[in-house]
Amino acid sequence: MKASDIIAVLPELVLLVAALAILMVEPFLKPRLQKDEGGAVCGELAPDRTAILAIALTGFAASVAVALFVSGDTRTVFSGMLALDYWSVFFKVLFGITGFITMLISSNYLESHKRHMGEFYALVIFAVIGLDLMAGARDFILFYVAFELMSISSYLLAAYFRYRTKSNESSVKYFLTGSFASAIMLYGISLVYGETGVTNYHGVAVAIANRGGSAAVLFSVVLIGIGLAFKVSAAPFHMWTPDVYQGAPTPVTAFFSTGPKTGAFAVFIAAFVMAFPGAAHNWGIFFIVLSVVTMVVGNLFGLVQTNIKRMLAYSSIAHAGYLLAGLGAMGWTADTYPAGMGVLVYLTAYTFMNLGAFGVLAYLKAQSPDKFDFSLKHFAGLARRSPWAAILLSLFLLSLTGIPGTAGFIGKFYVFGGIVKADLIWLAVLGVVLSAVSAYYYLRVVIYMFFKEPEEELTFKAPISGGMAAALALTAAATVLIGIIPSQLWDAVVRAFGSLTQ
Amino acid sequence: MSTVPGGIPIPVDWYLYLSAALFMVGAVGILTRRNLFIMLFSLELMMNAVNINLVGFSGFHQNMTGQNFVLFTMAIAAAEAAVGLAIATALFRNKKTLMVDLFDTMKG
Repeated sequence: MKASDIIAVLPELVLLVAALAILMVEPFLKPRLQKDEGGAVCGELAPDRTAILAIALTGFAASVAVALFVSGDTRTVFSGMLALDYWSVFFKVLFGITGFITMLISSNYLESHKRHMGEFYALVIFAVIGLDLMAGARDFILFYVAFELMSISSYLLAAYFRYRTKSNESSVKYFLTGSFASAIMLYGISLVYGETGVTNYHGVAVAIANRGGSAAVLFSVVLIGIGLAFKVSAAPFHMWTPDVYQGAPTPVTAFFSTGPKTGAFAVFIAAFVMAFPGAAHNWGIFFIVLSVVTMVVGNLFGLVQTNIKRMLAYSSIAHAGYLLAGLGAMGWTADTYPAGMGVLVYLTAYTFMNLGAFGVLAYLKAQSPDKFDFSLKHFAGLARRSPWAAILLSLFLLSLTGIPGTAGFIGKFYVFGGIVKADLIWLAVLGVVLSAVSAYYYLRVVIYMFFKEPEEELTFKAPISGGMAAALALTAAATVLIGIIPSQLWDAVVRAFGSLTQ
Repeated sequence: MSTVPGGIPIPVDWYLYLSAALFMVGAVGILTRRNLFIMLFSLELMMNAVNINLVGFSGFHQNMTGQNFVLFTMAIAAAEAAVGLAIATALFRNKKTLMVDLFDTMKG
């Protein structure tokens, strides 16, 4: 290790300092005094935690700034464990933005549920550190440690409302399936080490090329694939997704549906392209099978949901299916570029539109925490009660459908374009047909919001304000901008993917 | 090839058989048992099966990477157990049971 290696992990160190600062500052916050009508002190309220939110937001902003500042270098550090290249910078920026928006969504929500505490922010930051290192890892040991850092923080985030049975249930399901999957993946990694004697991605590729592939390599590729498929909630490993997404606090769901998923896809591409290029055709077939099942299951089960949070869970399964189809196309042909870059564009677009959609749900829930339960009938007449929320949610749902002019269309365009270039026209056709099916369950919500009379009036406290407004404005702007002028994003994606495969 | 003090070599596939057997015991335990504690034990069994694999391969390849990896795995298994027990505690306070098939408030 050289002292200059520290530069590669500076964005993570910034985040770590922010998380530790939050944990240090929190106990010293003074409780607010509750006063009665005469002005006399009659009790204590929880302290104002704006300072903690400010530290978290500053941490994420600084981490993104540092990541952009150190970009331009292409090398591996810590004896080949971690890469500093455009690929890792691309994902560090994406995860930093994901964390930033999650923080903005969370503050109002947690305040309205009276669970506004520092640990929440610290846990999200720890999860983002894990994600950053996952994307940058070039060694199975570091990848596994980073993966578990992300996973264990996620289990705790799902259980954050610990007095609520649904949150408990969501977290125990996530914990059991998640750690079962990671044990399977770890077994696969141990077999890779047994076959090659090294854990470095590049070293594994060299050793397999020298010795020739074997059944053990294929077996371990499948085991690692299954472990990660749990995290991206690919069918048939998706059973936990709807329950966890429904039971976890909404800002946490927004984070789960974007951060860990994007991270797992980053590892899918980095590890499989770099460590198992010889078995590419085989893992291509594995992903194609997985993607067909996932797209069908996600879209068909999405049709029958009446709870919008659950519907979005199935929608996120369907989106994982489109992304896996892109990975399948990468393995199927020798030219990984078109489909691989399509997947990166899609991941970026998906991050913004999904964070936005769950952000609107979090806003609605924060408005009436007791009555609103995300069922479709509560969305009836929303356009009159709270027009901005209805318009924004419609924008995000249209983008998830893939309507031209939104980010979702650009993502689907590049992924399906890459699949067609790989001569898998049937797969692209299946994907497009199933996205047409998905329009039914997305547009149904829009119709409810604009054209249905509400059965019962829900009380809404306040218009969108503060952090929530900023988060929704950011995601909506990104969704529209990527949809209209994707060239900036495309340049970043070309550089990122280029630095991985050179 | 590892050797015991008597000088008799232990072939690497013996480690593999042991670890595969332990891994399967753990996996079957998670899939069939419904008590959260038994499921946590099974999880530990799966992680430790992997550790046997790694140590066995480390001897076979004559390098230390596998044994380094085991140190990380053990630390992570401990962290995972701690989180699992914390979740179990929170769950028991609300539901007064640890049988996971009774947690079915969400369906569809």
